[in-house]
Amino acid sequence: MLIEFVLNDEPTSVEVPAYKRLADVLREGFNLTGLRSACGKGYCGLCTVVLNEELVYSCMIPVFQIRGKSVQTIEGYAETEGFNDVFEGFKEAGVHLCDYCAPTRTLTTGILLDRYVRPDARQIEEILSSVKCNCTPYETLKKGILLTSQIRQKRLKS
Amino acid sequence: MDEDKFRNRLAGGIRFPEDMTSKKMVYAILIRSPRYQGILEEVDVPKLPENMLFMRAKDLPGKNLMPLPDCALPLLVEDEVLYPGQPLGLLTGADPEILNKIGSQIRCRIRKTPPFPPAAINDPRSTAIIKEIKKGDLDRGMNKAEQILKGEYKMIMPEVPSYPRNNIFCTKEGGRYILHLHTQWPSLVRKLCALAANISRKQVELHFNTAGRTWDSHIWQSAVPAALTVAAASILRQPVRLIEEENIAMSFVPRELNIHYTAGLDHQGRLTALMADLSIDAGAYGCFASEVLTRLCLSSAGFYQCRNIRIRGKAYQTNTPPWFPMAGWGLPQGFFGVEMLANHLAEESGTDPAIWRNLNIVEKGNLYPTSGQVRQRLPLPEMVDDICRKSDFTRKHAAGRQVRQNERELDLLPTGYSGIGMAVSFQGNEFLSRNRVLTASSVTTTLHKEGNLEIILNAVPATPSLLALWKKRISKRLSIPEEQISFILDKPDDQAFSGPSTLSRSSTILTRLIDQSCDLIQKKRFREALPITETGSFRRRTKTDWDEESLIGTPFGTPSFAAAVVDVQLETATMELRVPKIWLSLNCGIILDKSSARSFIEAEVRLALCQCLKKQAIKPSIFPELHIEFNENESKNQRIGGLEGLVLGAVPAAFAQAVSLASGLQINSLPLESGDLLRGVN
Repeated sequence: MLIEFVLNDEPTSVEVPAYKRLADVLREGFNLTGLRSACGKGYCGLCTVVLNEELVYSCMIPVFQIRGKSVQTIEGYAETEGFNDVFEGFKEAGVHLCDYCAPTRTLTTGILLDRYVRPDARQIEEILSSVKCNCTPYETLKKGILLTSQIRQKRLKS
Repeated sequence: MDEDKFRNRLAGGIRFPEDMTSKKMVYAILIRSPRYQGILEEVDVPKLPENMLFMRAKDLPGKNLMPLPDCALPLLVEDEVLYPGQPLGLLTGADPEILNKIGSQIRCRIRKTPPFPPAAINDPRSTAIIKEIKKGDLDRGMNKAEQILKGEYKMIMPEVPSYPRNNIFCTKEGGRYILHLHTQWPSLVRKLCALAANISRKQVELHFNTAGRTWDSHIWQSAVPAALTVAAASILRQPVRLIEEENIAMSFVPRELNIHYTAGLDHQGRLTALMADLSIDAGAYGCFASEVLTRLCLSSAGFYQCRNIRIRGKAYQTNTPPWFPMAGWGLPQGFFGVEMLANHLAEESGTDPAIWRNLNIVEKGNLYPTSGQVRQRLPLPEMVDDICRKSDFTRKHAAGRQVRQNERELDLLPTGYSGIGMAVSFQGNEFLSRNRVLTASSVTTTLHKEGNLEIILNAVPATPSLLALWKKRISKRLSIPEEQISFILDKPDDQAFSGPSTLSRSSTILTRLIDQSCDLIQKKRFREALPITETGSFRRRTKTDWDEESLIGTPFGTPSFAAAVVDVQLETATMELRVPKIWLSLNCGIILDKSSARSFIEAEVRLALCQCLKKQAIKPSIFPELHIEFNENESKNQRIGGLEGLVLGAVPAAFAQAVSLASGLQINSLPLESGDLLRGVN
């Protein structure tokens, strides 16, 4: 099945069986290895990508569902100013993420902070829950999220 | 960490085994047996295309064995299939989809054999190991007792999910097999790969990622697929990538630990005798059973003053996948029993649990249950007092009991009850077995002519931040810039064998060895010609310190201690449980990095609560407020203590006690759900 879609702002197409998982197509077909294929059942959140501005678990999405839609992965997000905000925020807060969850945690934090410019406690919890990895304490992560949000607000003001 | 590396990490630039590809690479999948408990008679393989290969035990160029403590595990089934999902063979081919399709068509035929006898029957065919701790005269202690109390406790241990998966990539370059994988035990992987492929250990080079928290239950599991991948690469003379899909048969097997206690108490509520019988399912092969069972027996005996003790542990074999060692290698799980018993004894003797503990904890000059002398004052009484003050334990506990006792006199049913519980535990980072496979550890440090310092570890640090910490520490000690210090986690030419990175051994033992070798280099520097090489090796404890056969002596040289208080709220109508607060007091010497230590503790609290509440994960919304107190001693000779297993040992028993108080039911087993409380059973 030929599937045309926009990947990291570039129109593209792929010829794969319709039932293939989006995670496998992105990793194998496009060599986008920033997303991890870990639990394979939408539990760990390590395969999260942005599908039409919504965060989705790519291991749960059959590839035919992305036809005509826009997909963004961490490789694409790393080229944006939003990524720099997260990078600065995490660096300043001393967030030591493990190699495995770091890309996805960065992507989900950046995207959710686009939605919640000044996140409240519930929204911070939503950001924390997006990836299930035990490598960093919640307190440090919260600090990183809040600093990222401040950096972003400053950037948007200027 | 430098800025570019951090940016690269966040941007997903780090490559894992599953990201590796190369020209002419073939994929491999493990074919597992759907049937079990019988002799393998035949494996029906459909006709394979030309470029595909099905490799069985007899096709391995080397040995089909994994020599682990207490057992030799076959890599692939040779004759007997003992558990569902046991690997039958390795299927290789160029297309993973065709591989999976053909893999699902492979069938096996087995001739049924009798299963392992039930655990209740003392049959040598099923009993892997029996261990016993004996002190004093149990009968005399029981006769002296004014009150005899019994307790039965059960804990079902959850399977810890393992990420990343066991994907392995192997390629051959210049006579060496280069392996990309995840492991906590590089020395074992190298040894096993060399055995299976019949090559020298020097021909195996490992590249691995540090991937956050490592889990002991999976400590050896990457070694089997790694050995098979190297064997396949040596037969095919092509790069091989093994794809390990999640296997349901391997994942969800509930494991039970049962402990039966009989305790004698005198009129003051002091222990006169303590008897315990514990049994645990060791899986099909009983690997590591000796070490795990010894630790279980030790923690089940606790550290309460008692002259007459008999603790007997049995690890029995069943037709389930091998799974030892579990998280913490048995020490935390045993504390559940003894701490539940301690709370029960305190209640029966009408004493506050904190006061009872402080009255009964062994003191300097007393003997441990293993007859070793307590040479230093234990910090536990102060820790218990401190945590009681901070959590207001005594008042809350007394109030909880009062509410439950006067419940019938209340005019209105409260919308919720609260309960509070306490438990203590300890941790030892030394292995109790004298098996070199486990205990070996060495660090080689070389100061080169150019002033660069190279450190060979042969181990995996528990967290990536530990490497940065070590660099800082060495830089300060030797006045060498951090850029000139490099770590080699694994070196093929180095014949040193190191045990697994577990029980906080990387932060305790490796730090000590690094410090020692740096001190030696500092002494020789400017006196001797460069390069200077120094090796620090971990010295096993002598038999006079600890006799692993008769379980006599002082088991741990540098134990760490923990006290935990757990606050629980229970909604009357739905019996929904919430854990709003947890207080932890930890004494583990010097803490190298508070942030990493806190992250470690938080991860263990999550695992402990999963164990208590039958949940796969604890969401941030229900994660309790954590109050962690590190009791660091300012003195110069402070050691670095281990953290792993401390929280897992103390939190479950404190939680169960808090739920007992809140619900008015005697909770004797974990995990626990609201449904269990609604039914009024546990």
